[in-house]
Amino acid sequence: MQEILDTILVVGAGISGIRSALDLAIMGYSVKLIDKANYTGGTLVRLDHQFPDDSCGICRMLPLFERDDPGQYCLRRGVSHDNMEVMRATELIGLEGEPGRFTATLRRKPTMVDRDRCIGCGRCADVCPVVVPKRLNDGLTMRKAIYLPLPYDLPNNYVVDLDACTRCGACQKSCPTKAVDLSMEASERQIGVGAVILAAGFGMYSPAAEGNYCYHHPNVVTSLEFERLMSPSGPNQGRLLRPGDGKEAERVAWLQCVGSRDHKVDADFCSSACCMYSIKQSVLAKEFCGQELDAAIFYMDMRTYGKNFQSYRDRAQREHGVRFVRSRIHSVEPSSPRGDLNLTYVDQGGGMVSETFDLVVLAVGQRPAPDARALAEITGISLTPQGFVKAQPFSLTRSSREGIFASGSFAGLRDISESVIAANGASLAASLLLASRGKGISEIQVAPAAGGNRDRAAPRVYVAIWACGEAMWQAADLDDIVAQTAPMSSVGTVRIVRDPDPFEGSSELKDSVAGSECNRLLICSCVPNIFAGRLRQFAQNLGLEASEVEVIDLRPRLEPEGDRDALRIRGDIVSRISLGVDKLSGTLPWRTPSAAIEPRALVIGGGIAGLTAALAIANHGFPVHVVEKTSELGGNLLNLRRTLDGGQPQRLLAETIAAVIHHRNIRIHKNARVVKFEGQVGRFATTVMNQDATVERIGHGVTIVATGGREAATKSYCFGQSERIVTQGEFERKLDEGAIVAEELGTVAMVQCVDSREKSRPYCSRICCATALKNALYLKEKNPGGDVFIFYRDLMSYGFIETYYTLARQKGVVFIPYGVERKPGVVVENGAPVLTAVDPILGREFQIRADMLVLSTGVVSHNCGEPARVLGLKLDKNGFYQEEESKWRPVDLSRRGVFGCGLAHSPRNITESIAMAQASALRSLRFLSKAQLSAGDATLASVDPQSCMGCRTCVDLCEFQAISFDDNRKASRIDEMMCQGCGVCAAACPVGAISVGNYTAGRMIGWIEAMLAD
Amino acid sequence: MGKDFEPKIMVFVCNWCPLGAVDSASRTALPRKAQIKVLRVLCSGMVDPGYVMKAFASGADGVVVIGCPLGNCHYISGNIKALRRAYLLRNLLVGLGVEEERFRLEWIAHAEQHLYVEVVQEMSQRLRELGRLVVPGLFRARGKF
Repeated sequence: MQEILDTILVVGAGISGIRSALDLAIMGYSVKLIDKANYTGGTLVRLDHQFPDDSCGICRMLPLFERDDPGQYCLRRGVSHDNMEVMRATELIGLEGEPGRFTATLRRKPTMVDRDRCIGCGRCADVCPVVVPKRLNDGLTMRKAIYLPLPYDLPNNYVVDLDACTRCGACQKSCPTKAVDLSMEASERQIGVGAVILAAGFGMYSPAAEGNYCYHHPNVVTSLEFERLMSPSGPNQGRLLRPGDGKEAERVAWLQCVGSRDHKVDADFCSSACCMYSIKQSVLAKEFCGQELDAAIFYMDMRTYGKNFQSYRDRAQREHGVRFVRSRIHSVEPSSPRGDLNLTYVDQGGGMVSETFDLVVLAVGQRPAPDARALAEITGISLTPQGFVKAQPFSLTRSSREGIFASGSFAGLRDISESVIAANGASLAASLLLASRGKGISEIQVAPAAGGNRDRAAPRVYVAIWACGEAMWQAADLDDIVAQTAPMSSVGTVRIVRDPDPFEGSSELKDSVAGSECNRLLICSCVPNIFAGRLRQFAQNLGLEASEVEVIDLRPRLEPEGDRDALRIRGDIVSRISLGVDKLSGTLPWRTPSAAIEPRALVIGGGIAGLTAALAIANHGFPVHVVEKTSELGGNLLNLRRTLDGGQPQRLLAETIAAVIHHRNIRIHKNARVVKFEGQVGRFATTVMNQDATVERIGHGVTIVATGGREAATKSYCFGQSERIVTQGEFERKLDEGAIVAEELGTVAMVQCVDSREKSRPYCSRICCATALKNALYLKEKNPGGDVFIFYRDLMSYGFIETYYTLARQKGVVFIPYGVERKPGVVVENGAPVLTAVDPILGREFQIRADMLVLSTGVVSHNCGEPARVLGLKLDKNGFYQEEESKWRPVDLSRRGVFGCGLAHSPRNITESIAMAQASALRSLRFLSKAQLSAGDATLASVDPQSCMGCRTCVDLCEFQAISFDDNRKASRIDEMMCQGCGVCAAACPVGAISVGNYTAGRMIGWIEAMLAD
Repeated sequence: MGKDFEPKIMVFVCNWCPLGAVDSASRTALPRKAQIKVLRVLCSGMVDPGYVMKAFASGADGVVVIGCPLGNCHYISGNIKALRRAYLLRNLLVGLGVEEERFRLEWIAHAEQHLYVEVVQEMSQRLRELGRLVVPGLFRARGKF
């Protein structure tokens, strides 16, 4: 029997693919990350800013521990990790075998440029005669047929666009390093993988075929084109000029739901992210162009259902003056071929209105990834009729075939935060599969990460000068450079290396370094970026640590500059080498602090989120303690009988509870609560008070908080004055218990957003609209003749929930919008509620005498204050646990090693809560999988207690809670595990008592002097 | 100052957002008549004002500190700390007789290589007008370093 493989293939290197690949690589799996594009980053490379904080921060996906395993640079420039192989321009073309032992066939498209030889000088592009639209900028700018996919990419290689290339050969002749080879052919490769994660992203709807949006006009752009128009790397370098005539845009309109929520284009779904990205674009445009810019968003429902989305919208309206116009678009018509556009729409009162705009942005919806069908065929998974991956019930990531998982937006319509959660979920699912087949993380443990304590032998530097591109060296006399370098102090050997590929020639170099008795290596190269992310592996091959190898860049100084003489170029190079030698000879031997991890988890809360997380961790072989406040497991799920899509929550709950209570790794503490919480990630100590008032102390490495939420109570709309006025939750329960009989109800009215999305409770509870739809459809099923009226503000039927909104309207449910300033009035007459509301089209008041008034009161967190206080966690302004970073680390809470999921984090439906629980479990396993957790970086701050004067400036400055004040020593103390090495404390210390790894003040001063010396 | 004056510009560049821009700008046209010395640091927040002073004292005619755009700091708020410090530093420099334009703090995102080129070009032009920095005597007094 063939062995189960611990290699996982991740298809697609966008945000989700990177997240999944990093997750698994960090846990110790071997990961192959492929992308058909010539760069990594997917759609994100075209988005400079993302909601809801209008900044990037993608680098925060990099791990905070063992930081040197992945490359320490912006993730937009590429991704690397010791356990990961990244293959660009590579596609999956075949998959054989079974879960645990697949054979994947990969095809690498020829880029015609040898990645290891290209020095990115750009001469090829200078001579290339072919000009084509640049896809990165959505065709708004032009490029050559040989081009840099991303200007800031690492390593930065030119590639040939095969569709545009005429094979004229000019580039081949111009290349100084003979990197261009137009005879290059596609190569195929087979690899064995245990599981496959599909993260091929999504497609975008093309409005080209739709006449009334006038997309052929140059001043009508899609949202992605608008991102590029605004981008500093876009066509106008950050100025918002309209493409038609270059005029500064002053009036911009965003049209929502283009290609979404539209039967005509076969899109009975909501694309989920467009409302928010349009708000973001309008706010950014206002910030870029000044407040006088008129930004108007034309929408049907503003779907601000995510955490803090509603306050983002409110801020856009209140502080930035973005106009929100509820309307249906009639047409967009040009007033001139390259000029203004007339927008005609029907407003809420039914009147036709016309406005003129400079620029019209179409918020185009998401579509299945262009490769979805092909990938589904290759991997044998099923798709939904719309072409998205068909996920298993209550899962966002498990496809119809075992061993194939969908990550991020490939499986549905998601924004970044949700994609990251789903990506974590996919990694967990893959890991669970392998763990169940005996290849879990505990089985694949390899030797601890490199680094360790090395002797303080006197530094001897081996200087290797890569003579890449002979032509470039004409200006500089190599022999003279060698002659000047050799006598420098600490230099052992100087050698010129002629092999252009540093990785291929490394065995020869290894012998040479070993023979020279040098313990440091200085690489002087014209292709310094080639080492990015591969330096550690390269150093290890040579028997060195990464901190003992330094790469310096010679290239820009070698470019022929007419007005510079050879002597000066030579002098410049020698001074660079001298600085490199100095850096290396002062480098301290690498000492990696590490801490033991208590391989046990604590889960607080026994609802479906807590139980899911507990089960996932326990199935990986780690003991889990579950603390539940009540006497029963299940939480809110106990009250749910149905889901909108026909799922069976009680069956799910029963199965989960059965698995949990019989699990040998799980111990349940019922009627228990956490009374004390100490320690930090890896070694928490929690005191739990059990039912019988006995106190138990549990040592654990990670904590998952899933303390839940509940339906909010209300006093609005005469609640409490009649038993015919109930909340959605009560209504559902009473229907199930038979206390209310659906068939006997003639008229049911529902009011959405009760006390929500207004001052008192400024957030959207996300699940109420779907719950109302569920109950309305149930009523219509049981009693088709009955009337159901739903009063709503914005119907939050995001994603595929939209389908049920459509269905409800088809079944005759009446939806009546209301504004927060004109809420429906309720009085109780003869025990029954009577609603008075305004018909938005007729503008007239009308009354509904209802047999039942059902109030959607929303979700509030379930007393998070108490656990938050004990655990030292931050709450957001709405009383939910505050996550560290909403986009990139959505489940990490404010204390390292504590993760949050379920309703206590944010309102979510069952499937989404489960996904979040899976993400929390995955993040926890990252710690549990290691016996020792190392800081894994040479750059850490330390305090000299003799010099510290105890001002405590540093304590408050540290964003990572790494610095505390030691009252015994009367000095600050830095926790090396928590320290991220940013050096902020060192710069702020008034007496210079703090120094940062190899960036000590003395060395910095030395470098500055050396660099500026003539 | 003669036509041949080549100002020296010391650039402290953060390892995260701006390094991408600086890296990619190194292959495009940088001003010929300036010597640009780039020192990578982990965060703009680690640039001690003393380093800036030291650069001036060691022969730099101008100093630029480049951090991530506000809100994007890998270390959450290092750039904000750099910003706070810059106000004080600027006052100090002016008090010592160093023209304000000789020191700049910039936020540059990964894709804004043109912005980096612009900053360096503007500065080198201004420095050519200002001429070589005559290091005020006070600089020689030893403080923290």
